[in-house]
Amino acid sequence: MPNSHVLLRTKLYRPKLPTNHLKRNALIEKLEAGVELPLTLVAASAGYGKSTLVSSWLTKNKTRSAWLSVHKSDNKLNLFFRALLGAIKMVFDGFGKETELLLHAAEMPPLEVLYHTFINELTQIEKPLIITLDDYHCIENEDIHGFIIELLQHPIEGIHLVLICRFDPPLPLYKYRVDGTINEVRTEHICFSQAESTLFLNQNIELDSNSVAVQKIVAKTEGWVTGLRLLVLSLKNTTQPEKKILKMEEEELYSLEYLSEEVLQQLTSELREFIIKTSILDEFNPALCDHLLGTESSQQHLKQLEELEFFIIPLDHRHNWYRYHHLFQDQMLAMLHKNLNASTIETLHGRAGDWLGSNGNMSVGFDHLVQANQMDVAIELFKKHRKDFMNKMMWELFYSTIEKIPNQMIKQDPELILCLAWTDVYLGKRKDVFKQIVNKGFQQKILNTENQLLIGELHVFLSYHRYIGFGETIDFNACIAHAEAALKLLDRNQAFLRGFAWIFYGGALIAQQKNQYLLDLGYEELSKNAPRSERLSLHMIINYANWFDANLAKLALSSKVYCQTAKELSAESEFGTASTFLAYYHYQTNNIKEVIETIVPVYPHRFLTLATHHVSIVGALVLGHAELGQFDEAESFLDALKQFTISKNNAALLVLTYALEAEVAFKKGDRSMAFQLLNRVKAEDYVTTISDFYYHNTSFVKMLLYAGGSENLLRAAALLDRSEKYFEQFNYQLFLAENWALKALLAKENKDVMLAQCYIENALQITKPSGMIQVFIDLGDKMNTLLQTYRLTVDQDYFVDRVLNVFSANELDRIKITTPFDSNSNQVLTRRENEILGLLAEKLTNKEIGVHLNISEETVKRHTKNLYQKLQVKGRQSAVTRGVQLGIIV
Amino acid sequence: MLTNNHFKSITQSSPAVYQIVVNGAVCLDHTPLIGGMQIIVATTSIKTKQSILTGRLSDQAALHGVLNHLYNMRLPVISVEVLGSYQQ
Repeated sequence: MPNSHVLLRTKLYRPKLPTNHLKRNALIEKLEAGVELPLTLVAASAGYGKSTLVSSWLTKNKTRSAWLSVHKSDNKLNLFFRALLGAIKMVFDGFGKETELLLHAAEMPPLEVLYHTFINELTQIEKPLIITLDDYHCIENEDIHGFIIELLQHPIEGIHLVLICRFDPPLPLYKYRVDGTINEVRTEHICFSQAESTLFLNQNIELDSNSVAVQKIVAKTEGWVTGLRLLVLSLKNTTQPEKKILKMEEEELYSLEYLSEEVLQQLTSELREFIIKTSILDEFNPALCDHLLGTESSQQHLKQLEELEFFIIPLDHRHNWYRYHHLFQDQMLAMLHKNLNASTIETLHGRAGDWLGSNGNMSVGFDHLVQANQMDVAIELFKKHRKDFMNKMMWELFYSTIEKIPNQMIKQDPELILCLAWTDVYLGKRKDVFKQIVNKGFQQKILNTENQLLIGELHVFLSYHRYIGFGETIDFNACIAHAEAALKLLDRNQAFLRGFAWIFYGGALIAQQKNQYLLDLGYEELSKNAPRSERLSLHMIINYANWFDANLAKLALSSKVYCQTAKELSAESEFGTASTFLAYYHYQTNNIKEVIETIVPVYPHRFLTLATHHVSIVGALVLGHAELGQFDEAESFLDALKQFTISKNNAALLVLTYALEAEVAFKKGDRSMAFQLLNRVKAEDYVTTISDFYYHNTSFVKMLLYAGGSENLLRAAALLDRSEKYFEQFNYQLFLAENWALKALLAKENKDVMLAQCYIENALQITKPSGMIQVFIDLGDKMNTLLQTYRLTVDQDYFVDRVLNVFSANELDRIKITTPFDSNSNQVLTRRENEILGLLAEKLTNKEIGVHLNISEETVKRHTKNLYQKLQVKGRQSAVTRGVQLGIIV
Repeated sequence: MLTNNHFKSITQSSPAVYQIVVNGAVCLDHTPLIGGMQIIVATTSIKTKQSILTGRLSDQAALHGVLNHLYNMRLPVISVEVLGSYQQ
């Protein structure tokens, strides 16, 4: 979209000051006096010179300032933030990188994350900065108001916000007044005083300031500057202005309509026609006006109007783009509808849409074409540009355009139905659409178009459908056939669609145990220099091929290459996904410290990935810290994760979080708590998502096995049978290994030693070649015992020896940090408590410990209190003695 | 809907005490958002709830801000009355 940034930029310049504007020192002082407060509100009806006033203050003040003229179309949170970032970037090039990443995230992050990231970035820039949002009354979106409230809740020193609006915005202004955090410029301040009105008149027309005529004007216009300016313009060529004024009816002096008509009469008919016809445009440049009017004189007309200061506002420094004063534009539009017939107006809109569409502004062009009653042309325009939006993942804008098309027309157009289906995939809107796509009649319609790209797109959807099933049978053969057809039909420019097709093609090939073929194919495609998003998709499926196959040696390599590529392409979201593969490779091979080191750098970018990957990223940290016995850390990440999954309102993700919570309790040694935590949900209701790295069912079954009892064992058996079928279907070897290991434990609980042995061997077959030992470690001491028994039956098994070694090493660690006298209770010392116990042994005072650990004395006291309670002692000396007894203090 | 003829002198910038009646209950949390107007929720004879908002607003921009907020909350406005004006 070559020119769209030009149009966006027009919103980012503050209006140029008219030469005949009156310097209003008292008001400027009032604005100046409030600059230390967080907020200035300039609220008055249209035409009082609000923007001019703020602009002249900013010109005089010379503080860095960012300006955004808000449009009605900015009412989508994502678009508003993009515009706001654009405004601040005009001052600080490169501002808001983190926020920008979030705006391009695969899923919209939780609001507070977006707000706080932006606010955080604001705190980091050089101060002071004044941010002005002009025409803020156009904002109706509550989330945007919510953002402003959040911004003002904890004001940043040196950042001053100016809101210009026609009426009070729904912000807690009353509270701000009580708190004294708001500076207000309202109608009573901004309207011209009698002296100012008189001065203004004197500067522009020759009138005696004491004359009856002047008094009449001043009284009737009530300091309304637009009224005064219109009056001045209407009297410009009058030889006897005084006489004319006295002749005017009182109501006429007050009437915008009357005054506008008077003013227009002063102009040549050509210029008059120019203004009336171009009033349909919110923003315009000479080329657009020429196209609209079929003339070549627009440049000259615009220059003339600018010289006359005729309610025209230049929008960029090169004086290429302009807009009319809003109030004046409304009047001219009314005149347009009065003077021209509907079909002429439609023709004008049609030409505007035509020019804007072919000059890169699809959305504004689309709106004009709709007003031109040319919905079919508008739809064609959208179709022409939609791939751009898709490749850039701009789903909000994509959807806001489709919303404007009547349902009846969408129903008849198979391409538009495909578009709606994408909004279902990415925004979860219009959920009923998918059913239509699998309908044979619909597919025939697409085939009939003979449009290869469209047919290719249909194949992409169908391969997705056959892989997931959506309530119907999963069919990998069909999935592969559709994906192959799609990749054949879609050229390299269809990067988004090709990337999407690759994912499901890859999944289906894995399911058919063609992992090696997939790897060969993937690497071959990569060597062909595929475009960015397709390359990233290829890396992703290569990694999935290795992960599903539990081929950890290859995964180690492929995930590192994936990380590297994502980094090189500055693909932050994919870097997160790539690091997840690497981290879970480390986890499965029990390199726990590496897990944390891999995730820490991508943790700040977790909101950029899909929600399921977000859970995997944080999950790795939770599991890693818990495995290292760092339960404070594990729990704090868990809390953050819980907040996120709750905000996503996604039950499956929340269940994953519960499972992680139970895992932490389990690793702490608190088995009953782990069981309770998971018992809140019915495991049977949830199946895994194929893209998860951690399977909640493992935790469910494990807790059931540890809880024991015939009912629990029966439930465990049923869950294991179900997941075995599921993983076999997708050829998910890694999770199958986990499943076998759990089945072995179940068999042992059922006293079937032979069967347990058999299942262990199944699990070992998958895990051994990869050194995948964590599966066994995660299953706890019951697995330890089982493997010890197994070890006695075989001559030599280095792999099992390694697992048993880790178990005994962990055992030693655990003795150090848990109190063995009550393993079923909560009595586990946290890392901090351990540190404090160590310092108590060195006979440090609370104050000294506080200094040592950089925490307050109060916190030390709190920790020692908990510590005494857990060790069941009453004082520091007995705590140290007990610590030595338990081996916590060496 | 301005009903009182005594307040013809009200201009764009005059502060005044307004009473706005809407159908439905306005939550007290909204007080700061409606210029600090007091909210009384009353049950009418036909057992529907009405809210009476009373308070001083600085000017027409403030009044329109309140009306706009009520509109966005989908609360139908039944009347707007000027109870008193402050001449500047």
